[in-house]
Order: sequence, then C-alpha cells, then structure tokens
Amino acid sequence: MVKEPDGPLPLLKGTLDLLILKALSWGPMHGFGIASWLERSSGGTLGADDSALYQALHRLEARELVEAEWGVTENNRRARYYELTRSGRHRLRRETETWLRYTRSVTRVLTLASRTA
Amino acid sequence: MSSYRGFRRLFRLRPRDAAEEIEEEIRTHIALRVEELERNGLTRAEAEEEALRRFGDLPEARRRLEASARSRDRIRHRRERWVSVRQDLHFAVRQMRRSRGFTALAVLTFALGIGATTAVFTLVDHVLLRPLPYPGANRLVVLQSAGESGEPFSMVSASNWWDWRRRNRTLTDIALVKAFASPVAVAESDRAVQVQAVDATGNFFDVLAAPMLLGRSFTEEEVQSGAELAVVSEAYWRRELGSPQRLDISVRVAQRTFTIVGVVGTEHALPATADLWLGHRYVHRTGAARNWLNWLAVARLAPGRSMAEARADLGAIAAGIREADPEGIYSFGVGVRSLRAEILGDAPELLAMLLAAVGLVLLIVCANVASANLARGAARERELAVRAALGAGRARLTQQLLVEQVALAAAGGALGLMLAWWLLRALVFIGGDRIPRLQHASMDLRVLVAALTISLVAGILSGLIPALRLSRASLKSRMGSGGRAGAAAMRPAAGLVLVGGEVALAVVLLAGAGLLIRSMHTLVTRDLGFIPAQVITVDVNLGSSSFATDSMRYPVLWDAVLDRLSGVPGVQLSGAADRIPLSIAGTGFIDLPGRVGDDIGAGYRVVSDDYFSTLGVPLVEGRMFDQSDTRLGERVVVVNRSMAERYWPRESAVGKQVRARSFEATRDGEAPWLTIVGVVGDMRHFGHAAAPRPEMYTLYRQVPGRASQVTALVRTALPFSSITGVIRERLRNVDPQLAIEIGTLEAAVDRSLAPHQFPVTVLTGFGVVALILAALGLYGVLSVTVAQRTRELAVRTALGAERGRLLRLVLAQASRPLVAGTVVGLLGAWYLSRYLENLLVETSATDVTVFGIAAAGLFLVGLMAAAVPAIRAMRVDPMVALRNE
Repeated sequence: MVKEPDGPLPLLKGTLDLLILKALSWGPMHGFGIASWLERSSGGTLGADDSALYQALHRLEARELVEAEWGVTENNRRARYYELTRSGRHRLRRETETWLRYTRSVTRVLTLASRTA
Repeated sequence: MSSYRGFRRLFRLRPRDAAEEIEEEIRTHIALRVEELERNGLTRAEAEEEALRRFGDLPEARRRLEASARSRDRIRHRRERWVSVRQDLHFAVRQMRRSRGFTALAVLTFALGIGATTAVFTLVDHVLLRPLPYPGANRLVVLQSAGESGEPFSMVSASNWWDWRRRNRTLTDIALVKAFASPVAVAESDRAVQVQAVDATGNFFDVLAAPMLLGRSFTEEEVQSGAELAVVSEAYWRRELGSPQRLDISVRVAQRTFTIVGVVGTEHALPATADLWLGHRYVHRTGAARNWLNWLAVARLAPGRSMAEARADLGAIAAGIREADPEGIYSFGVGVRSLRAEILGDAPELLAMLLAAVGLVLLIVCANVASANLARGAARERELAVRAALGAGRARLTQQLLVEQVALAAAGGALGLMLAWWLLRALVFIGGDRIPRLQHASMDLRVLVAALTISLVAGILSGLIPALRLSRASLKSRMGSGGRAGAAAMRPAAGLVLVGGEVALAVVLLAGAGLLIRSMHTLVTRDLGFIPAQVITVDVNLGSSSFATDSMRYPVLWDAVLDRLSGVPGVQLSGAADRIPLSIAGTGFIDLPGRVGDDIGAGYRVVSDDYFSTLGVPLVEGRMFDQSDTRLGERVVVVNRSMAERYWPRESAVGKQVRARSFEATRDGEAPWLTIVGVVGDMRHFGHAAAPRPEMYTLYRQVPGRASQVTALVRTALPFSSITGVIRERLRNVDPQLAIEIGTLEAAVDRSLAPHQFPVTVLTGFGVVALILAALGLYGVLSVTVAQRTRELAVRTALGAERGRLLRLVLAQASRPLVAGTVVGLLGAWYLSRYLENLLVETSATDVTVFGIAAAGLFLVGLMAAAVPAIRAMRVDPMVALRNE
C-alpha cells in the first residue's frame, strides 16, 4: 500500500494557469489574494508554491491573458493587481469546458465496477 | 481599458526595473501572509517565520521570478513592436493613397533600382554562388601542363595523362575531353550537317558523375574494347533527332558509325558548346606526342585529399616523365585548378564590377526618394507633431516613417520584379557569350528572397535621413506657422547634399562607361590585317563523301570547290584555307637551319593560291603562291610579317628555309625543308583583341595529307541571301555527302567582338539611368527650394531686381551640389577605375578626356535640369506671390 502524501496535492503547470484565470474571473486580485483564494476554495487540497504562482502569472502576462497594474490595498500597501483580459476570459471558458469534458470521461471509466485488482 | 494601457506602455519613457518590481511584489506578498497568520493567532515572529517558509527559498525564488519576468517583458515587447509596425503599415498605406503623385514617383523609382539590382544579383547568384551541377562538384579539378617558364595552362597531352592516371595517389580518376569542339559532318539520310563534336575518354562522364537526361554514358571498357559509342547534347537531341524516347540511333561521323547511347542535359554539358561526345579509344604514345596539347583533363580528388597534395603528387610524376622522356617539354610540373574556376574564367571580376555598378544605381535611387521625401516634409510635419504631443518618442516616429518607406520600397520591389525578369533576359541575351553558365539563370525563390531583402535595405536607406530629420523637426516644432520656418530652413540643405551625392555617383558610372566605350572604339578600329566585308565563308566538311577515303584526294576536293565557286556569277575572288581567321587554330614548333630543336614556333596554315588576295591581305615582299608551285615541285611557303621580323630580324626572309617540325614530321622521317617565297601582311587571326602572331602558310597541293579541312572564302558584292542557294547547289554537285556551312566573315568578326560589347553596353545603360535619375533629383529639389523662396524672390522682383539676376541666383544654388558632386565623383572615378583595367584595351584607366567629357556632360544636364525651376522663378509675379502669403 502506497502511503498517501500529506498536505496539498501538487498541481500541474497548465492546471495552475487555469485556476488563476478562474480566480480572476470575479475581478482584479493581487498575488497573495489569488494564493489564499486558491487555498480557501479548494479547502486546502490544492496549494501552490508561491514562487510557482508568480511564475505562472508572468506566463499569463506574456500571453496577454492577464494584465497587471500597481494599485493600493485596503491597508495602503502597494500591490500589483492582476486582471483578466478579454482573450483571458475566452481562454478560461474554453479551457474549463475542455477540462470538464476530459475529467468527466476519465471519471466515468475509472468508476466502472471492476474486478478487484 | 486594456488597449489604453497598452497604448501607454508603448510610449512609456522609462520602464521600471524588473528586479525592483519583483522585490516589491514579494515583500507585499509576505507582509500580507504575515497579517493573515497573525489574524489566525500566531505571534509576529512566528508568523514571519512561517510566511518565509511558505514562500520557499527566497534567493532562489527571486532569481527564478526575475528570469520569468524578463522573459515576459521580452515577449510582450516583441508583440507590441509587431502591433505598432502593423499600425504603421496601415497608416502608411493610407498615406500612399492620399498623395498619389509622390507614391507613384517613389514606387517607380524604387522599381527601377530594385529591379536592376535583383536582375544582376540573379546573375551573380547563378553564375558565382551556385556550385556546378555535378555531384560532389567541389572535388572536381582540372589538371594543367607547365612548361619551363612555369606558368601552368589548361591544355594537356593524352600521353602525359596516361602516366598521371596510372601513377597518382591523390585522385580517384582523371578523364580527357577535347578542349574545343570542332565541327564534324554527321550524315543524315540525304545530306550531311555540321555538328560541334568532341572526343572524350571512356571514363569522362563517370568522372563528372553527370546524370544523363536519357539513356546512359559510355564506359571505359566499352570504348577501349573498340565499341564506337557517342553521347549527344540535349539541344542536338531535340533539334536534329526530334526528341525520341528510344535511343537506338547511330550516326555516321566521317568514316565511322557511332551508336548513340545517351543524352546529356544542357547544364551538364562540358564543354558547353559541344553537341556530340565521341568515345575515344586511347593508344599510348610517347616522345613528341607528349607535346600535343589538345585536351582538357578533368579529375576528381580522392576523399580527404587537397589540391595541394594532388599538385605535389603529380609534380613528382611529371619529374619522372621528364627524365624518362626528355622530348616532352610540358612536364615541368602539373597545375591543379578547380573545375569551377576553370569554367568561370574572369567572370567573377566582371560580375563583381556589374554588381558594384548596379549598387551605385540603387544608392542613387535611394537618394532620389529620400530627397523627394525631404521635399514634401512640410506636409507631414503637422501630423507628426500631433503624434509627438501624444507622447510618441523619436524612436516611434522614426519607426513610422521607416515603415512607410519600406512599404513604398516593397511596392516598388514587386513592380521591380517584372522589370528584373525582362532585364535578366536582356542580360542573358547579350552576355551569353561572355559569361559562362549564364544560359540557365532564371528567377526562383532565392531571387524573390533577394528582391525582398534589397527592397528592405532600399527602404531603410532612403528613409533614414528623412525620418531622422522629420522626427527631430516634429518634436521641436510647435503647431503653428511660426515653427514651420525654422524646420523648413533645415531641409533644402539636406536635399542638396543628397543630390550632390547622386551627382557624384552618376559621374563615377559615366566615367566608367566612357572608359569602356573608348576602349571598345580602340578595339574596333584596329586593323585586322584583312578585309572582312563582302566575304562569304563556306565551311566544307568531308564527312562520308568520296573524298574522305584517301588523303591524296583532298587537293582534288579543294580544286573542285574552288573551281565551282569561282564559276558562280557575282563572285570576284575565291580562295580557301584549312583555318580561316577567327577560327580555332594551333601553333607548332618550327626549325630553322642552325636552330634545330630550339623551342620556337609559329602558326601553321594550309591555303590556296588566291587566299591572300581574296582576303585583301597585302604582299610585303617576294611573291604569293601561283601555278608554278606544283604538287611535286619545290616545297614553298609564305610567312607573315611577324614571323619574318621575329626570326629574320635584319634581313629579308625570302629565300630562307624553315621546316614545320610539329605539323609535317612523319613517323618515319623528318619534316622537309621549305623555302620562303614571300612575306604577307599580318592578320589578327584571333580577332581584334589579340596581337598578330607569327604564321606560315603552305600550299594545299603540296601537303595533301594536311588538307582534310577546307573553308572557302568568296568575295562578292551580291547580298548574302541571294548567293547561298547557288553555292549549296554547286557544291552538292561535287558530292552530296559534303557538309556545308555558309556564313559571312563579318558575322564572325561581330561574334568575336560580342563578348567585349557586353560590359560596355551594361555599364553605359547604368550610366545613362544614373544621369537621368540625378537630373530628376536635382530638378525635384530645386523645384521645392524655388517654391519656398517664392516670397523672397517676389520681394526682390518688387524691389527692382532683374529677371536675369534671379535666374543666376537660383542657378548658383544649383551649381553648388553640381560642382561639389562632380568633383567628388571625379575623385571617386579616379580611384575606382583601376578595377576596370582588365577590361580596357590600350586605354588608360585615368584617361583625362573621358573623365572630362563625363563630368562636363553631367554638369550640362544638371544645369538644364536646374534651368526649368529657375525659369519658373524668373516668371514669379510679385503681386500674386506676396498676396498668397
């Protein structure tokens, strides 16, 4: 029996990008906001290495799916706010659809009653 | 929202350092995490520790994030650049539609320059840059003989080849082919045609590894075992055979029947002029045969061997030959030269000169468009000032203007491609004799890419100065008429400098063309030593006729031909020779009493009695041949003046003795001694370009064995077309199997001049184009300056200035760039003309007359171009002009 690792599940690079897009779909957020939203929404099962998160944000910026600008938090701290662009929104919608379709099919196959291994 | 941010980013003055931003972002993140952890109950210190731990290894993270941020910035920057260029392109097209006149002028000018440059580049690419079309062509070399004087030359003897082939260790194989194609008679059903044929050793096509268009090549085993096999050229296959797909054809050449086994494609033909390759069965001979140099030796270097190694290896073999066979005097080493260099000859220098010349034309084109741009700068300034006010930096404005220029150049380039196609065909047509491998030059993908690149370069070159000036002017100017005056004052100077540059370049081209023209004139007016006008050449090839069987019959043929021809109505004189002027002829060794065995030589010709009088060659001393010189009588010979002066310098050559060791020695005995009976004037046998050489002429009756080849000459006042039919008919009656080719001697002379004509024609064309462009440029700039000085000129007129004075004022402004440009151009021409020296005949590369005429011509044309706006200035009505202000 393999011992399950404790703590949050490791995320694939592409999945992290998708989750970030989702996080921003409600409105602009700064980096930390995205990180804590991710932890909250997944109930702690999904967590990202903070530097990996920022790298993903840079990638998304390069592809012009998000845009960033410096702003001010409630506590008057300078923070960099990220926002979805229009093409970012389209990408989110498309990738979500693909992901759901994919996982539904895989789930269906995997949950078939099978002979015990 | 996002596009606005992008817009602002585009015009940002100083981007924040990526590292700074990352640092701040990390700090904020950690601070926020600390706050959250404190809210969850941790102490400050614990929170900070936990927050740092959660973030991960800080320095490592910082490094990685900086890298990813920089990559992000790079990608975004590239994309924004591309977007801005697209915007500029959009705008450029709109601009082009708005000012149609300027667009048309610019596009046409560009088309001219880019088209010409593309055409010449295609030539250069095809002739120089591409390798020869044989597999592994860079391993193919040509072997050369070297005499005692050391300079190697590319004709070799088969006897030497035999030894090189057997004993070398650096070449995979060596093959021979005749260096020059000679006409042979090929018998068809009811007549014979003349075909350019060469002999080749059995392994020739194998060494070249030339792919056959159809069939196969002959092999060494077949040829050496006696099979008579031939390969034909693509042209012959199409023209004479009708492109059959099956090759069970045999041809009758002279007395032998050859079977055609293959067809070789035009681009693989070596020599390029050959139509027929006959497999040559080699029988080894030593002794004097080692000096019969009529072959070209093509070899393939063994893998891993260099030309230097081959040279050393063959040099050793040559030394061995010299020792074993002292009669062979061309074995003082063996030269090794790449086949490519051998085929190209001096084409690289010539093409480089053409490329340089067309490059100058392109520069003039760019200068023209640039000065036109500067001239209309005022119109653009306002619009550019608006952009500047919106935050566009100088770089951005410059980019926009450059994109416009490149768009114009690209449009011009597209049009220029059509010009290039036409120009290329013209160049191939006039240059085909001069430059090898030219025939296959065509436009393909490489050419398109070249045209694109040239357009890009042209656009940027022509746009740079105007773009820099205009962008600076726009930033400085305010939007109002006050600012205009300041900026306007800058432009005329730049425009005049550009025009001055154009004038200089045009002078260089014209001077070069002038030198070539003068050289050509010198060449053409040289005395050939004979009179080619009104002489018809009748080349008679024995083929399979009844005369071919017995060498004793050859003089009978000559008699029959001369007899028939002299009977043709309208024929004034007729004569014959084995090698008439402007045909390929050889030299051989001669002996003089007391100078036997010295390596002295002369050309050897077999002629008829009236040969010299038919050609108009004067008698200098003694007599020419006549009826008293019979077949079995005393052996007589006539020499030309060069020969007489060289070998009998201070005395008369008449009565002296000479013998033709190379041509008349037989296997059993020595050559007979000949008595000189006369000296005739020199003929330039090889055309205008070569000096006359010593030549000796024997009478056909007395050397029947050597008279197998005959070309008759007929002097007649009748037009060519009216007499050819009669000649053919008469000669058919002699024997229908004789192959007859009729031409004129004048045509042969023209053909020999054609290669010299090529650079003259091309460079003159470029020079004229340059002249016109420079004149147009001058006209353009002056029109603008005159228009800008309207107010000033009007005031002057109102104050009573004479019209003539105004004219002089404007012309004075024009003369500055003209004079400066001419002087600079003359200096440039003085310096650059040395590169033309190889093409000049008896003309100095710094011929003052030519330079003077070129400069004066340009100056005059320039003044005329300036005169038009100047006269317009004179007619300015002060009242109208001042009111318009």
